[in-house]
Amino acid sequence: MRKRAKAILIAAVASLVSCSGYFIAQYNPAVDTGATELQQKVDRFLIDLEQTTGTPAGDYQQHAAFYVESRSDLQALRALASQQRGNDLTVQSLDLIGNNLDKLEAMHAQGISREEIGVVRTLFDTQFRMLVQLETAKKRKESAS
Amino acid sequence: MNLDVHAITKSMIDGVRGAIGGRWSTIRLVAEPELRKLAQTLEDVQQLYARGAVTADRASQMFEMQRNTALTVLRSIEGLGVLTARQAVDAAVRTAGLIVNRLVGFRLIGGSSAPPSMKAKFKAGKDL
Repeated sequence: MRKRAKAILIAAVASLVSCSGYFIAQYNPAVDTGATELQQKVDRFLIDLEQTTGTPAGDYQQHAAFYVESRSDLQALRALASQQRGNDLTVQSLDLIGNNLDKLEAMHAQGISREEIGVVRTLFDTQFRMLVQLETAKKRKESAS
Repeated sequence: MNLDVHAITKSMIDGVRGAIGGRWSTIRLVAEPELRKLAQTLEDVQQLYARGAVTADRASQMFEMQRNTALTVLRSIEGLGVLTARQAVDAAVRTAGLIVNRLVGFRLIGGSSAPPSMKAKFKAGKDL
């Protein structure tokens, strides 16, 4: 009888611990794939811009559509991610990427140098890589359990 | 004045390591290179400003972008830390589940995926 009470106590503690603040959203392949595609899109854009900046082909007006498209891609990813409970960290990361995209757009509109693009490219690369790392870790965790 | 990238990297790494404690060893391989790169971009912007290649306003815009990037790194580190902790908790719950289920005589804690050797021990009626 005492053993049973002990077992129920352990079970209660185990279920409390497993449902506590440790909860994180399940892996969503659409968010993972979408983030990877957007990472490649932004990187391709910045590589092109590094070559054309300072020329008419690099003018902001020539590329305004890229910002509209990328912002829409980010919004779609954000909407997908926020449908899942426990996905706050992914949503916040997407917002931070969106914030940097706004800043890049403002810098581009004012005129941006090749050296500045180099720094910005590293920053976006880090942001996307960390976001994808988190999504991949969710996948690994699911296949391990 | 030059920024000391190594010192900045070290202080960022120390800060993150202190915040996530024992889970650092698992996350280190992912976090350290990114924090190092981030520190390098801080120096790059400072250099651009020092030689007059960017205005103070532009340097400030870029520092804001670096801040956003640092926050993204921290969000992911936090998530990776939670996942690592979660894996440890799941393993503990699975082990507890085997013991508890045996004691109560029914499957009170589900999702048991203990190693086959452990299951074999239970089948054979041995205690852990």
